[in-house]
Amino acid sequence: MRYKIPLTLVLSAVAVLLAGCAQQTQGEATSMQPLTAPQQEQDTDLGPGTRPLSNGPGNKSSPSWSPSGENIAAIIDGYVAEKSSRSSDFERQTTRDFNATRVEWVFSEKGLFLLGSGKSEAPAQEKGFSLYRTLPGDSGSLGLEKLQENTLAISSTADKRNLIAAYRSSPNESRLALVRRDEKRPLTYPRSIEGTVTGLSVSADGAHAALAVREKDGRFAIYDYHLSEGEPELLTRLDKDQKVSGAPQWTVGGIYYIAGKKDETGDRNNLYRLPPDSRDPRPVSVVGKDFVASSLKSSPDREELAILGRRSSGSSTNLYLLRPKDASFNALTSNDGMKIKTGGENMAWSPDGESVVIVAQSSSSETGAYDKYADELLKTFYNLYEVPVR
Amino acid sequence: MRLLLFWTLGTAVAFALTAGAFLLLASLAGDSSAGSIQGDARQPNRHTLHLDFDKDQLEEVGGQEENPSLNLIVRNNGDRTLSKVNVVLVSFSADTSNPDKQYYRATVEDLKVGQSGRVNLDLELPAAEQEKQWVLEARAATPSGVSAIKTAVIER
Repeated sequence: MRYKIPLTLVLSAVAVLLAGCAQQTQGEATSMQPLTAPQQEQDTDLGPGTRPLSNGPGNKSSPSWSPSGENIAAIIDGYVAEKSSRSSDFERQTTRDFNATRVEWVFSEKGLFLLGSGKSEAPAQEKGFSLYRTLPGDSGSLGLEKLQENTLAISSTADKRNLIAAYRSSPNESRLALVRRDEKRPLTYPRSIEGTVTGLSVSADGAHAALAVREKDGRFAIYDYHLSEGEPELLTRLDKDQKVSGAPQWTVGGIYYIAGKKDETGDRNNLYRLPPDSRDPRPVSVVGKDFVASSLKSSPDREELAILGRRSSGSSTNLYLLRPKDASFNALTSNDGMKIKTGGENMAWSPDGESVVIVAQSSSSETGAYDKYADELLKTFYNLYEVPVR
Repeated sequence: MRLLLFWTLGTAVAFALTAGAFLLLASLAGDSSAGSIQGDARQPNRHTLHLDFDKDQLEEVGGQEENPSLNLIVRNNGDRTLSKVNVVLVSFSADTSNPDKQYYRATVEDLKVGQSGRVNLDLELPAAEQEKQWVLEARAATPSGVSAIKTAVIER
Protein backbone atom coordinates (compact mmCIF):
# COMPACT_ATOMS: atom_id res chain seq x y z
CA MET A 1 0.00 0.00 0.00
CA ARG A 2 2.95 2.29 0.48
CA TYR A 3 3.41 2.83 -3.27
CA LYS A 4 -0.15 2.60 -4.63
CA ILE A 5 -1.30 6.14 -3.87
CA PRO A 6 1.75 8.02 -5.15
CA LEU A 7 1.82 6.04 -8.43
CA THR A 8 -1.85 6.65 -9.09
CA LEU A 9 -1.41 10.33 -8.32
CA VAL A 10 1.51 10.62 -10.70
CA LEU A 11 -0.41 8.92 -13.51
CA SER A 12 -3.45 11.05 -12.84
CA ALA A 13 -1.35 14.18 -12.97
CA VAL A 14 0.09 13.09 -16.31
CA ALA A 15 -3.45 12.50 -17.57
CA VAL A 16 -4.51 15.96 -16.40
CA LEU A 17 -1.55 17.53 -18.19
CA LEU A 18 -2.26 15.62 -21.40
CA ALA A 19 -5.90 16.57 -21.32
CA GLY A 20 -5.10 20.22 -20.60
CA CYS A 21 -2.48 20.45 -23.29
CA ALA A 22 -4.79 18.87 -25.85
CA GLN A 23 -7.50 21.41 -25.13
CA GLN A 24 -5.06 24.33 -25.14
CA THR A 25 -3.64 23.37 -28.51
CA GLN A 26 -7.14 23.17 -29.95
CA GLY A 27 -7.92 26.61 -28.55
CA GLU A 28 -4.87 28.23 -30.13
CA ALA A 29 -5.63 26.69 -33.49
CA THR A 30 -9.13 28.10 -33.29
CA SER A 31 -7.96 31.65 -32.86
CA MET A 32 -5.28 31.40 -35.53
CA GLN A 33 -7.29 29.68 -38.23
CA PRO A 34 -9.11 32.64 -39.77
CA LEU A 35 -6.00 34.79 -40.12
CA THR A 36 -4.74 35.01 -43.65
CA ALA A 37 -1.17 33.88 -44.10
CA PRO A 38 0.95 36.50 -45.86
CA GLN A 39 1.22 35.60 -49.49
CA GLN A 40 3.13 37.26 -52.29
CA GLU A 41 1.22 38.55 -55.23
CA GLN A 42 2.61 37.00 -58.36
CA ASP A 43 0.99 39.28 -60.94
CA THR A 44 3.72 41.89 -61.15
CA ASP A 45 2.56 43.74 -64.31
CA LEU A 46 6.16 43.47 -65.50
CA GLY A 47 5.80 40.33 -67.58
CA PRO A 48 6.16 36.59 -67.06
CA GLY A 49 8.97 35.24 -64.92
CA THR A 50 9.41 38.40 -62.88
CA ARG A 51 9.52 37.65 -59.16
CA PRO A 52 8.85 40.12 -56.34
CA LEU A 53 11.65 40.22 -53.74
CA SER A 54 9.93 42.56 -51.30
CA ASN A 55 6.49 43.82 -50.46
CA GLY A 56 4.78 46.30 -48.20
CA PRO A 57 5.29 50.02 -47.57
CA GLY A 58 8.66 51.73 -47.95
CA ASN A 59 10.26 53.54 -50.86
CA LYS A 60 13.00 51.10 -51.91
CA SER A 61 16.01 51.93 -54.05
CA SER A 62 19.63 50.97 -54.74
CA PRO A 63 19.38 47.18 -54.45
CA SER A 64 22.65 45.25 -54.08
CA TRP A 65 23.19 41.49 -53.84
CA SER A 66 25.59 39.96 -51.35
CA PRO A 67 28.56 38.20 -53.01
CA SER A 68 26.90 34.81 -52.46
CA GLY A 69 23.62 35.96 -53.98
CA GLU A 70 21.72 34.74 -50.92
CA ASN A 71 20.93 38.15 -49.43
CA ILE A 72 19.97 41.49 -50.82
CA ALA A 73 20.34 45.00 -49.38
CA ALA A 74 18.45 48.13 -50.34
CA ILE A 75 17.76 51.66 -49.20
CA ILE A 76 14.27 51.98 -47.72
CA ASP A 77 13.04 55.51 -47.03
CA GLY A 78 16.63 56.66 -46.51
CA TYR A 79 17.90 53.88 -44.24
CA VAL A 80 19.72 50.71 -45.29
CA ALA A 81 18.31 47.25 -44.68
CA GLU A 82 19.10 43.72 -45.82
CA LYS A 83 17.31 40.39 -45.98
CA SER A 84 17.55 36.89 -47.32
CA SER A 85 16.18 36.58 -50.86
CA ARG A 86 13.76 33.96 -49.50
CA SER A 87 12.51 36.02 -46.56
CA SER A 88 10.07 38.92 -46.65
CA ASP A 89 11.46 40.77 -43.62
CA PHE A 90 14.22 43.33 -43.96
CA GLU A 91 16.69 43.86 -41.12
CA ARG A 92 17.66 47.49 -40.65
CA GLN A 93 21.43 48.22 -40.79
CA THR A 94 21.46 51.95 -40.11
CA THR A 95 19.43 54.42 -38.09
CA ARG A 96 16.16 55.49 -39.70
CA ASP A 97 17.50 59.01 -40.37
CA PHE A 98 20.68 57.93 -42.14
CA ASN A 99 19.94 59.57 -45.55
CA ALA A 100 21.59 56.83 -47.62
CA THR A 101 21.88 57.37 -51.35
CA ARG A 102 23.69 54.25 -52.53
CA VAL A 103 24.50 50.73 -51.32
CA GLU A 104 27.20 48.35 -52.59
CA TRP A 105 27.67 44.90 -51.07
CA VAL A 106 31.21 43.57 -51.51
CA PHE A 107 33.80 41.25 -49.89
CA SER A 108 31.56 39.04 -47.77
CA GLU A 109 28.12 38.58 -46.28
CA LYS A 110 29.01 41.39 -43.84
CA GLY A 111 30.64 43.78 -46.29
CA LEU A 112 27.97 46.42 -46.80
CA PHE A 113 29.21 49.76 -48.11
CA LEU A 114 26.94 52.73 -47.91
CA LEU A 115 27.04 56.11 -49.51
CA GLY A 116 25.06 58.67 -47.61
CA SER A 117 25.07 61.95 -45.82
CA GLY A 118 24.78 60.21 -42.47
CA LYS A 119 22.66 61.08 -39.50
CA SER A 120 21.95 64.80 -39.01
CA GLU A 121 24.18 65.85 -41.91
CA ALA A 122 22.45 67.78 -44.67
CA PRO A 123 22.47 66.10 -48.09
CA ALA A 124 25.18 67.62 -50.25
CA GLN A 125 25.02 66.40 -53.83
CA GLU A 126 27.69 68.73 -55.13
CA LYS A 127 30.10 68.34 -52.23
CA GLY A 128 29.69 64.59 -52.22
CA PHE A 129 28.49 62.13 -49.61
CA SER A 130 30.42 60.11 -47.09
CA LEU A 131 31.36 56.48 -47.60
CA TYR A 132 30.63 54.13 -44.68
CA ARG A 133 30.93 50.43 -44.09
CA THR A 134 29.04 48.26 -41.65
CA LEU A 135 31.25 46.96 -38.88
CA PRO A 136 31.93 43.23 -39.21
CA GLY A 137 30.30 41.04 -36.60
CA ASP A 138 28.02 43.80 -35.42
CA SER A 139 24.78 42.56 -36.91
CA GLY A 140 21.89 44.32 -35.28
CA SER A 141 24.02 46.92 -33.51
CA LEU A 142 23.75 49.42 -36.37
CA GLY A 143 27.50 50.12 -36.15
CA LEU A 144 29.09 52.02 -39.04
CA GLU A 145 32.60 53.21 -39.82
CA LYS A 146 33.15 56.33 -41.92
CA LEU A 147 35.83 55.65 -44.55
CA GLN A 148 35.88 58.66 -46.84
CA GLU A 149 34.24 62.07 -46.94
CA ASN A 150 33.28 63.94 -50.13
CA THR A 151 32.68 60.70 -52.01
CA LEU A 152 31.29 61.28 -55.48
CA ALA A 153 30.72 57.76 -56.85
CA ILE A 154 31.40 54.11 -55.95
CA SER A 155 31.58 50.88 -57.91
CA SER A 156 32.45 47.35 -56.89
CA THR A 157 34.83 45.38 -59.05
CA ALA A 158 33.26 42.67 -61.21
CA ASP A 159 34.17 39.92 -58.73
CA LYS A 160 32.86 41.98 -55.77
CA ARG A 161 36.23 41.63 -54.05
CA ASN A 162 37.14 45.34 -54.06
CA LEU A 163 35.42 48.69 -54.13
CA ILE A 164 36.58 51.72 -56.11
CA ALA A 165 35.48 55.11 -54.79
CA ALA A 166 35.84 58.51 -56.44
CA TYR A 167 36.12 61.45 -54.08
CA ARG A 168 36.60 65.18 -54.35
CA SER A 169 40.16 66.06 -53.32
CA SER A 170 39.89 69.80 -54.11
CA PRO A 171 37.19 72.03 -55.66
CA ASN A 172 38.05 71.00 -59.24
CA GLU A 173 39.89 67.76 -58.72
CA SER A 174 38.85 64.17 -58.05
CA ARG A 175 40.78 61.12 -56.98
CA LEU A 176 40.12 57.40 -57.02
CA ALA A 177 40.65 55.17 -54.00
CA LEU A 178 40.73 51.41 -53.61
CA VAL A 179 38.90 49.91 -50.64
CA ARG A 180 40.15 46.43 -49.83
CA ARG A 181 38.78 43.92 -47.41
CA ASP A 182 41.68 43.88 -44.97
CA GLU A 183 42.79 47.52 -45.24
CA LYS A 184 41.63 49.91 -42.56
CA ARG A 185 41.84 52.95 -44.85
CA PRO A 186 41.21 53.36 -48.61
CA LEU A 187 44.35 53.44 -50.77
CA THR A 188 44.40 56.53 -53.03
CA TYR A 189 45.59 56.17 -56.63
CA PRO A 190 48.51 58.47 -57.48
CA ARG A 191 47.12 60.61 -60.31
CA SER A 192 44.14 62.90 -59.83
CA ILE A 193 41.47 63.72 -62.40
CA GLU A 194 40.74 67.33 -63.39
CA GLY A 195 37.05 67.90 -62.69
CA THR A 196 34.28 66.12 -60.81
CA VAL A 197 33.72 62.41 -61.32
CA THR A 198 29.97 61.86 -61.83
CA GLY A 199 29.99 58.11 -62.42
CA LEU A 200 32.32 55.12 -62.68
CA SER A 201 32.42 51.41 -63.45
CA VAL A 202 35.25 48.88 -63.40
CA SER A 203 36.37 46.48 -66.15
CA ALA A 204 36.03 42.69 -65.75
CA ASP A 205 39.75 42.27 -64.98
CA GLY A 206 39.76 45.15 -62.50
CA ALA A 207 42.51 46.97 -64.43
CA HIS A 208 40.41 49.86 -65.78
CA ALA A 209 37.71 52.20 -64.59
CA ALA A 210 35.43 54.04 -67.01
CA LEU A 211 34.75 57.52 -65.65
CA ALA A 212 32.28 60.26 -66.50
CA VAL A 213 33.83 63.57 -65.51
CA ARG A 214 32.39 67.09 -65.45
CA GLU A 215 35.33 69.34 -66.17
CA LYS A 216 35.99 72.81 -64.80
CA ASP A 217 34.33 74.51 -67.79
CA GLY A 218 31.20 72.36 -67.37
CA ARG A 219 31.93 70.02 -70.31
CA PHE A 220 31.57 66.31 -69.79
CA ALA A 221 34.28 63.83 -70.69
CA ILE A 222 34.80 60.07 -70.63
CA TYR A 223 38.05 58.76 -69.15
CA ASP A 224 39.71 55.38 -68.96
CA TYR A 225 41.53 55.31 -65.63
CA HIS A 226 44.30 52.69 -65.78
CA LEU A 227 44.05 51.34 -62.25
CA SER A 228 47.17 49.22 -62.51
CA GLU A 229 49.29 52.28 -63.42
CA GLY A 230 47.18 54.87 -61.60
CA GLU A 231 46.92 57.01 -64.78
CA PRO A 232 43.82 58.66 -66.25
CA GLU A 233 43.42 58.68 -70.04
CA LEU A 234 40.98 61.07 -71.71
CA LEU A 235 38.92 59.17 -74.29
CA THR A 236 36.42 61.74 -75.49
CA ARG A 237 35.06 65.14 -74.61
CA LEU A 238 31.37 65.79 -75.28
CA ASP A 239 29.92 68.89 -76.96
CA LYS A 240 29.34 71.84 -74.62
CA ASP A 241 25.59 71.38 -74.55
CA GLN A 242 25.77 67.63 -73.82
CA LYS A 243 25.86 65.86 -70.49
CA VAL A 244 26.50 62.28 -69.45
CA SER A 245 23.70 60.64 -67.52
CA GLY A 246 24.78 58.13 -64.87
CA ALA A 247 27.91 56.01 -64.95
CA PRO A 248 29.56 54.86 -68.18
CA GLN A 249 29.64 51.05 -68.27
CA TRP A 250 32.66 48.98 -69.13
CA THR A 251 31.82 45.96 -71.35
CA VAL A 252 33.70 43.54 -73.57
CA GLY A 253 32.45 45.62 -76.52
CA GLY A 254 33.81 48.90 -75.20
CA ILE A 255 32.46 51.63 -72.95
CA TYR A 256 28.73 52.42 -73.19
CA TYR A 257 27.26 55.65 -71.90
CA ILE A 258 24.09 57.72 -72.08
CA ALA A 259 24.25 61.34 -73.15
CA GLY A 260 21.72 64.05 -73.96
CA LYS A 261 21.24 67.78 -74.02
CA LYS A 262 21.86 69.52 -70.69
CA ASP A 263 18.73 71.65 -70.78
CA GLU A 264 16.32 68.82 -71.55
CA THR A 265 14.54 66.44 -69.23
CA GLY A 266 16.22 63.33 -70.57
CA ASP A 267 13.51 62.48 -73.09
CA ARG A 268 16.07 62.52 -75.88
CA ASN A 269 18.94 60.79 -74.17
CA ASN A 270 20.82 58.47 -76.51
CA LEU A 271 23.06 55.46 -76.02
CA TYR A 272 26.64 55.71 -77.24
CA ARG A 273 29.54 53.28 -77.48
CA LEU A 274 33.25 53.89 -77.40
CA PRO A 275 34.72 50.75 -79.03
CA PRO A 276 37.86 49.30 -77.39
CA ASP A 277 40.96 51.39 -78.15
CA SER A 278 38.85 54.06 -79.83
CA ARG A 279 38.23 57.74 -79.10
CA ASP A 280 35.35 58.00 -81.51
CA PRO A 281 31.95 57.48 -79.82
CA ARG A 282 29.15 56.11 -81.99
CA PRO A 283 25.40 56.02 -81.38
CA VAL A 284 24.24 52.46 -80.72
CA SER A 285 21.91 51.67 -83.63
CA VAL A 286 20.67 48.24 -82.51
CA VAL A 287 18.34 49.84 -79.93
CA GLY A 288 16.44 51.75 -82.64
CA LYS A 289 16.58 55.40 -83.60
CA ASP A 290 13.74 56.47 -81.29
CA PHE A 291 15.04 54.63 -78.22
CA VAL A 292 15.27 56.78 -75.08
CA ALA A 293 17.92 55.39 -72.74
CA SER A 294 17.61 56.04 -69.00
CA SER A 295 20.26 53.93 -67.26
CA LEU A 296 22.80 51.15 -67.79
CA LYS A 297 24.44 48.40 -65.79
CA SER A 298 26.97 45.90 -67.14
CA SER A 299 26.81 42.25 -66.07
CA PRO A 300 29.39 40.78 -63.66
CA ASP A 301 31.36 39.26 -66.59
CA ARG A 302 30.90 42.50 -68.59
CA GLU A 303 29.48 40.43 -71.50
CA GLU A 304 26.00 41.93 -71.25
CA LEU A 305 24.41 45.28 -70.59
CA ALA A 306 21.09 45.79 -68.77
CA ILE A 307 19.39 48.95 -70.02
CA LEU A 308 16.35 50.76 -68.67
CA GLY A 309 14.72 52.78 -71.40
CA ARG A 310 11.80 53.32 -73.74
CA ARG A 311 11.36 52.27 -77.37
CA SER A 312 10.14 55.81 -78.04
CA SER A 313 9.38 58.87 -75.94
CA GLY A 314 5.69 57.92 -75.62
CA SER A 315 6.13 54.28 -74.59
CA SER A 316 6.61 52.62 -71.19
CA THR A 317 9.98 52.14 -69.54
CA ASN A 318 11.22 48.55 -69.78
CA LEU A 319 14.32 46.57 -68.95
CA TYR A 320 16.33 45.49 -72.00
CA LEU A 321 19.37 43.30 -72.51
CA LEU A 322 22.09 44.19 -74.99
CA ARG A 323 24.85 41.71 -75.87
CA PRO A 324 27.73 43.64 -77.40
CA LYS A 325 29.33 40.50 -78.92
CA ASP A 326 26.45 39.66 -81.25
CA ALA A 327 24.69 43.05 -81.10
CA SER A 328 21.45 41.42 -79.91
CA PHE A 329 18.91 43.56 -78.09
CA ASN A 330 15.82 42.16 -76.32
CA ALA A 331 13.19 43.34 -73.87
CA LEU A 332 13.25 41.47 -70.55
CA THR A 333 10.04 43.01 -69.16
CA SER A 334 6.66 43.85 -70.66
CA ASN A 335 5.58 46.75 -68.50
CA ASP A 336 1.83 47.15 -68.05
CA GLY A 337 1.21 50.22 -65.91
CA MET A 338 4.26 50.22 -63.64
CA LYS A 339 6.67 53.06 -62.84
CA ILE A 340 10.21 51.65 -63.02
CA LYS A 341 12.83 53.63 -61.12
CA THR A 342 15.61 54.73 -63.43
CA GLY A 343 19.24 55.38 -62.50
CA GLY A 344 21.97 52.76 -62.69
CA GLU A 345 21.93 52.38 -58.91
CA ASN A 346 18.40 51.01 -59.18
CA MET A 347 19.51 47.95 -61.14
CA ALA A 348 21.42 45.06 -59.56
CA TRP A 349 22.81 42.07 -61.43
CA SER A 350 22.83 38.85 -59.46
CA PRO A 351 26.40 37.64 -58.85
CA ASP A 352 25.85 34.69 -61.25
CA GLY A 353 24.59 37.03 -63.99
CA GLU A 354 21.28 35.17 -64.27
CA SER A 355 18.94 38.00 -63.26
CA VAL A 356 18.60 41.73 -62.73
CA VAL A 357 16.73 43.35 -59.84
CA ILE A 358 14.79 46.51 -60.60
CA VAL A 359 12.56 48.79 -58.48
CA ALA A 360 8.98 49.54 -59.50
CA GLN A 361 5.51 50.48 -58.31
CA SER A 362 2.10 50.88 -59.92
CA SER A 363 1.77 54.09 -61.90
CA SER A 364 -1.75 54.58 -60.53
CA SER A 365 -1.82 57.23 -57.83
CA GLU A 366 -5.46 56.83 -56.81
CA THR A 367 -6.52 56.06 -53.26
CA GLY A 368 -7.34 52.37 -53.14
CA ALA A 369 -8.56 49.75 -50.65
CA TYR A 370 -7.40 46.13 -50.60
CA ASP A 371 -8.37 42.91 -48.78
CA LYS A 372 -4.81 42.50 -47.48
CA TYR A 373 -2.54 43.66 -44.71
CA ALA A 374 -0.33 46.61 -45.67
CA ASP A 375 2.82 44.49 -45.55
CA GLU A 376 1.30 42.13 -48.14
CA LEU A 377 0.72 44.88 -50.70
CA LEU A 378 3.14 44.79 -53.58
CA LYS A 379 2.50 47.15 -56.47
CA THR A 380 1.11 49.97 -54.30
CA PHE A 381 4.64 50.76 -53.06
CA TYR A 382 8.10 50.80 -54.64
CA ASN A 383 9.29 47.21 -54.36
CA LEU A 384 12.11 45.04 -55.68
CA TYR A 385 11.53 42.69 -58.63
CA GLU A 386 13.92 40.05 -59.93
CA VAL A 387 13.85 39.74 -63.71
CA PRO A 388 15.41 36.59 -65.21
CA VAL A 389 17.85 37.26 -68.01
CA ARG A 390 17.65 33.83 -69.67
CA MET B 1 2.84 -12.50 -8.25
CA ARG B 2 -0.90 -12.12 -7.81
CA LEU B 3 -0.30 -8.98 -5.75
CA LEU B 4 1.87 -7.50 -8.52
CA LEU B 5 -0.81 -8.22 -11.16
CA PHE B 6 -3.45 -6.62 -8.94
CA TRP B 7 -1.31 -3.50 -8.48
CA THR B 8 -0.64 -3.16 -12.21
CA LEU B 9 -4.26 -3.64 -13.25
CA GLY B 10 -5.49 -1.33 -10.53
CA THR B 11 -3.10 1.43 -11.56
CA ALA B 12 -4.03 1.10 -15.25
CA VAL B 13 -7.76 1.28 -14.53
CA ALA B 14 -7.25 4.29 -12.25
CA PHE B 15 -5.23 6.04 -14.94
CA ALA B 16 -7.80 5.37 -17.68
CA LEU B 17 -10.73 6.50 -15.52
CA THR B 18 -9.00 9.68 -14.38
CA ALA B 19 -7.81 10.64 -17.88
CA GLY B 20 -11.22 9.92 -19.38
CA ALA B 21 -12.99 11.94 -16.73
CA PHE B 22 -10.75 14.95 -17.22
CA LEU B 23 -11.03 14.79 -21.04
CA LEU B 24 -14.82 14.62 -20.77
CA LEU B 25 -14.90 17.56 -18.36
CA ALA B 26 -12.59 19.65 -20.55
CA SER B 27 -14.62 18.96 -23.67
CA LEU B 28 -17.91 19.76 -21.94
CA ALA B 29 -16.45 22.98 -20.55
CA GLY B 30 -15.33 24.06 -24.03
CA ASP B 31 -18.75 23.45 -25.53
CA SER B 32 -20.67 25.18 -22.78
CA SER B 33 -18.57 28.32 -22.57
CA ALA B 34 -18.09 29.00 -26.25
CA GLY B 35 -20.36 26.89 -28.36
CA SER B 36 -20.51 29.43 -31.18
CA ILE B 37 -16.73 29.88 -31.13
CA GLN B 38 -16.17 26.24 -31.87
CA GLY B 39 -18.77 26.35 -34.61
CA ASP B 40 -17.15 29.39 -36.26
CA ALA B 41 -13.72 27.86 -36.24
CA ARG B 42 -14.82 24.64 -37.86
CA GLN B 43 -16.90 26.35 -40.52
CA PRO B 44 -15.17 29.65 -41.29
CA ASN B 45 -16.75 29.92 -44.72
CA ARG B 46 -20.28 29.81 -43.36
CA HIS B 47 -19.72 32.58 -40.86
CA THR B 48 -17.95 35.33 -42.70
CA LEU B 49 -17.37 38.95 -41.95
CA HIS B 50 -17.06 41.76 -44.47
CA LEU B 51 -15.20 44.97 -43.70
CA ASP B 52 -14.97 48.10 -45.82
CA PHE B 53 -14.39 51.82 -45.68
CA ASP B 54 -17.03 54.34 -46.63
CA LYS B 55 -15.75 54.83 -50.15
CA ASP B 56 -16.99 58.41 -50.58
CA GLN B 57 -15.34 59.46 -47.32
CA LEU B 58 -12.18 57.59 -48.19
CA GLU B 59 -11.83 59.57 -51.44
CA GLU B 60 -12.00 62.79 -49.43
CA VAL B 61 -9.76 61.82 -46.52
CA GLY B 62 -6.53 62.51 -48.42
CA GLY B 63 -7.53 66.07 -49.28
CA GLN B 64 -8.65 67.03 -45.79
CA GLU B 65 -6.16 68.78 -43.60
CA GLU B 66 -7.55 68.27 -40.12
CA ASN B 67 -9.17 65.35 -38.33
CA PRO B 68 -11.16 63.81 -41.17
CA SER B 69 -14.07 61.58 -40.19
CA LEU B 70 -14.19 58.07 -41.60
CA ASN B 71 -16.81 55.35 -41.34
CA LEU B 72 -15.94 51.68 -41.30
CA ILE B 73 -18.69 49.27 -42.31
CA VAL B 74 -18.84 45.75 -40.87
CA ARG B 75 -21.28 43.28 -42.42
CA ASN B 76 -22.31 39.87 -41.16
CA ASN B 77 -22.36 37.63 -44.22
CA GLY B 78 -22.63 34.46 -42.16
CA ASP B 79 -25.60 32.51 -40.88
CA ARG B 80 -25.41 33.35 -37.16
CA THR B 81 -25.64 36.50 -35.13
CA LEU B 82 -22.27 37.86 -34.10
CA SER B 83 -22.55 39.02 -30.52
CA LYS B 84 -19.37 41.12 -30.63
CA VAL B 85 -17.10 42.37 -33.40
CA ASN B 86 -13.93 44.22 -32.39
CA VAL B 87 -12.71 46.75 -34.93
CA VAL B 88 -9.18 48.19 -34.92
CA LEU B 89 -7.89 50.79 -37.35
CA VAL B 90 -4.13 51.28 -37.51
CA SER B 91 -3.08 54.55 -39.10
CA PHE B 92 0.53 55.04 -40.19
CA SER B 93 2.78 56.61 -42.77
CA ALA B 94 3.88 54.65 -45.84
CA ASP B 95 7.30 56.16 -45.09
CA THR B 96 8.79 53.43 -42.91
CA SER B 97 11.38 55.77 -41.43
CA ASN B 98 8.45 57.16 -39.44
CA PRO B 99 7.60 54.33 -37.01
CA ASP B 100 4.68 56.13 -35.31
CA LYS B 101 1.31 54.39 -35.44
CA GLN B 102 -2.08 55.46 -34.17
CA TYR B 103 -4.64 52.88 -33.09
CA TYR B 104 -8.40 53.44 -33.09
CA ARG B 105 -10.64 50.83 -31.46
CA ALA B 106 -14.40 50.27 -31.53
CA THR B 107 -16.87 47.43 -30.95
CA VAL B 108 -19.99 46.47 -32.87
CA GLU B 109 -22.40 44.35 -30.82
CA ASP B 110 -25.18 41.97 -31.74
CA LEU B 111 -24.65 42.03 -35.50
CA LYS B 112 -27.46 39.95 -36.98
CA VAL B 113 -27.24 37.89 -40.16
CA GLY B 114 -27.17 40.13 -43.23
CA GLN B 115 -26.88 43.30 -41.14
CA SER B 116 -24.21 45.98 -41.35
CA GLY B 117 -22.72 47.93 -38.48
CA ARG B 118 -21.07 51.30 -38.85
CA VAL B 119 -18.13 52.62 -36.84
CA ASN B 120 -17.27 56.30 -37.02
CA LEU B 121 -13.70 57.37 -36.37
CA ASP B 122 -12.18 60.84 -36.19
CA LEU B 123 -8.70 60.48 -37.59
CA GLU B 124 -5.66 62.56 -36.83
CA LEU B 125 -3.58 62.82 -39.98
CA PRO B 126 -0.41 64.89 -40.45
CA ALA B 127 -0.25 67.64 -43.05
CA ALA B 128 -0.16 66.43 -46.65
CA GLU B 129 3.19 68.13 -47.21
CA GLN B 130 4.76 65.96 -44.52
CA GLU B 131 3.38 62.60 -45.62
CA LYS B 132 2.49 61.97 -49.24
CA GLN B 133 1.25 58.42 -48.81
CA TRP B 134 -0.71 57.28 -45.77
CA VAL B 135 -1.91 53.81 -44.78
CA LEU B 136 -5.14 52.93 -42.97
CA GLU B 137 -5.18 49.24 -42.03
CA ALA B 138 -8.55 48.12 -40.62
CA ARG B 139 -9.10 44.78 -38.91
CA ALA B 140 -12.35 43.30 -37.61
CA ALA B 141 -12.51 40.13 -35.54
CA THR B 142 -14.97 38.24 -33.37
CA PRO B 143 -13.84 36.56 -30.14
CA SER B 144 -14.20 33.28 -32.03
CA GLY B 145 -11.49 34.35 -34.47
CA VAL B 146 -13.59 35.16 -37.54
CA SER B 147 -11.78 38.12 -39.05
CA ALA B 148 -11.63 40.52 -41.95
CA ILE B 149 -8.97 42.93 -43.16
CA LYS B 150 -9.09 46.03 -45.35
CA THR B 151 -6.18 48.34 -46.08
CA ALA B 152 -6.47 51.72 -47.74
CA VAL B 153 -3.50 53.60 -49.14
CA ILE B 154 -4.23 57.30 -49.38
CA GLU B 155 -2.36 59.36 -51.94
CA ARG B 156 -2.14 62.97 -50.83
